[in-house]
Amino acid sequence: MLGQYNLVLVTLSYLVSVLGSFTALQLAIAIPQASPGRERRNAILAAGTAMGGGAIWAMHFIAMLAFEMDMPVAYDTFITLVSALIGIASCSVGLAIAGTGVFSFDKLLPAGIFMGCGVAGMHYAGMAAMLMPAEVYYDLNILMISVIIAVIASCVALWMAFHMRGPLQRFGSALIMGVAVCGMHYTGMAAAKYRHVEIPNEATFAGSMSGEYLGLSIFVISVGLLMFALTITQARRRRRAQLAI
Amino acid sequence: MEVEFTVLSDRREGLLRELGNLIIHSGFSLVRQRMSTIESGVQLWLRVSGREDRLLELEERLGSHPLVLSFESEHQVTDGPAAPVAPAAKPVMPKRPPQGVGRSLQGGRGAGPAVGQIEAELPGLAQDYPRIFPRLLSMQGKLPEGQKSPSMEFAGRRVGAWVYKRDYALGGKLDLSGALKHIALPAMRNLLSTDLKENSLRVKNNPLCMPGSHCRNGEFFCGFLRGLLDESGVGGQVTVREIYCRSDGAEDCVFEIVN
Repeated sequence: MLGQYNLVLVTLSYLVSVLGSFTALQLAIAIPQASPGRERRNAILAAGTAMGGGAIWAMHFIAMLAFEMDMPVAYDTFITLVSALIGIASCSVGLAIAGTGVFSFDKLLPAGIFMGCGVAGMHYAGMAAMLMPAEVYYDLNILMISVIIAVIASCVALWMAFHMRGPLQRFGSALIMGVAVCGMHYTGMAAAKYRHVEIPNEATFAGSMSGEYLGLSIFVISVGLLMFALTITQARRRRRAQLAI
Repeated sequence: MEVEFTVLSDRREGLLRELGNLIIHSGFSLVRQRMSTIESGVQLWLRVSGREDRLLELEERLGSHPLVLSFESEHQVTDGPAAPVAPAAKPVMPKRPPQGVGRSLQGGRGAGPAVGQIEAELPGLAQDYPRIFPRLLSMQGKLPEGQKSPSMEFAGRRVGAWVYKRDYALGGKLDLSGALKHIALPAMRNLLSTDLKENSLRVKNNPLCMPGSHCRNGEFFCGFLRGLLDESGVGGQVTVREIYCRSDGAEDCVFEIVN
C-alpha cells in the first residue's frame, strides 16, 4: 500500500522543525551560563521541551498529516503523549551533556546519540500510536539508516550551536537540526510498509485523536514556538544594548 | 581599605550569592549590603573590606560578571576595621563623577593604571566600537607617561570582557584553541585584519604601533585578548604577550597566547 505526500505540508514540516530547533538551540546555548541548580535545570528542560515537543513532535505530526493514505487514521492519545515525552526526555539529556563543562568531542557523541535517539524514539513511538485498518512493518536496514541520519545530523547541529559563534551558530545549527529531524522522519517513513488488515471496530478508536485535533495542537505549538523565538531574540537584543562596559 | 559598590543588575535571584562568592574569591569580605528594586532593574549596594592591591582584580571581576550590567565604586582608604560605617538604613550611594573611580589606586602608585581616566573613556569606547582607534590614540596621548602601558592594558581588558559578554557569551565553554578560533579571532577581526596561526594572532596595520616608532604599544591588544579569554572561562589564567611588533620593524604585530 502506498500513500502520497502533500508537498506543501512536507515543506511546512521542515519549516516547523527549523523554527522549533532555532527556539530550542537559542535556549540551549544559555545553559552553560545558567547557575548550577534550579536555574540550569530549568534552562535544560525549557530547551529540551522546545526541541522534543516543538521541533520533533510537531514536525512529525505535520509530516503524518502530509502523508495521505486511502484509509481512516487516528492516533492513540496515550502513546502519542508518551512519544512526546520520549523526545523531550532524550533531548533534555543530550542538551544537558552538551551544555555542562567544557564542550568537546567527548561530549558531542553521547549528546548527539541522545538527541538522535530522541528524534527516532519519538518518531517510532508516534508511528506505533497510529490506529488504522493496516499494520506497519519496517525494513530494518532503512530503519537503521534513519537513526544514523538523526544521530549524525544532531551531532553537527550541536557542534555548530555550542562550539561556534555568530550567524552559523544561530541559524546554521537550526537548519541542520531541521535536516536531522526531517531526514530521520522521511527515511523512517520509507522504511515503513503497510499491510491491510480487517477494519478495526469503533472501540479501537475510542479515546483517540483525529487529524483535526492534531492540526489544532500543532498550530498552537507552532505559534507558541514562534512567539517564544521572538521573545528570546528581543530580550537578548535589549540586554545587548543595555550592557554597560 | 573599605570600598562601596553600587551594582545594577537585571536579575534579583542569586545576585547577592553570586557577588558574595566573587567578593570572597577576590580576597575581600562583605561588610554590609542592601538590595533594592529601581526602575532600570535591581540595585545592590555593597560595602566590602580587603587589601588595596587586590581592588583592581575585584573591579575587573565585578565589571565582567554576567549578572552585572554596570557598577560604580567609591573607595575609602582606611587603616582597618575602625572605618566609619554608614547607618544600614541609609546607605552611602556613589555620588562621585566617573573620574573619581579608583582614585585610591592612582595615588602614590605611578606604575599602576590610571583607572579613573580609563573608566571615563570606556563608555565612549563602547559607543564607538568597533571603530575605537581614534579614541584610543587620543586617550593614549592624554595618559601620564609612567602609566601608559598598564592603562592601555587595563582598557583592553575592560573592552575585551565587555565584547565577550556582548557578542560571544552564548554558547558552550571552549578550550583555548576553540576560544582562539571562535572568539578571539572574530573579535580581533572586528577591529583589524587578523590571522590565526596555532596560538598566535598576527595583526596587520596596527595603528597603535607605527613603523619605526619603537613604541611596542601592544598592551591594549594583550589586555583585550586577556579580557576576552578570561571571560570565556578558558581554564587557568591566560598569558598574552606581543612577540613581534610593527614598531620594531616586524611586518605585523604578533601576539602569542599561552594558557
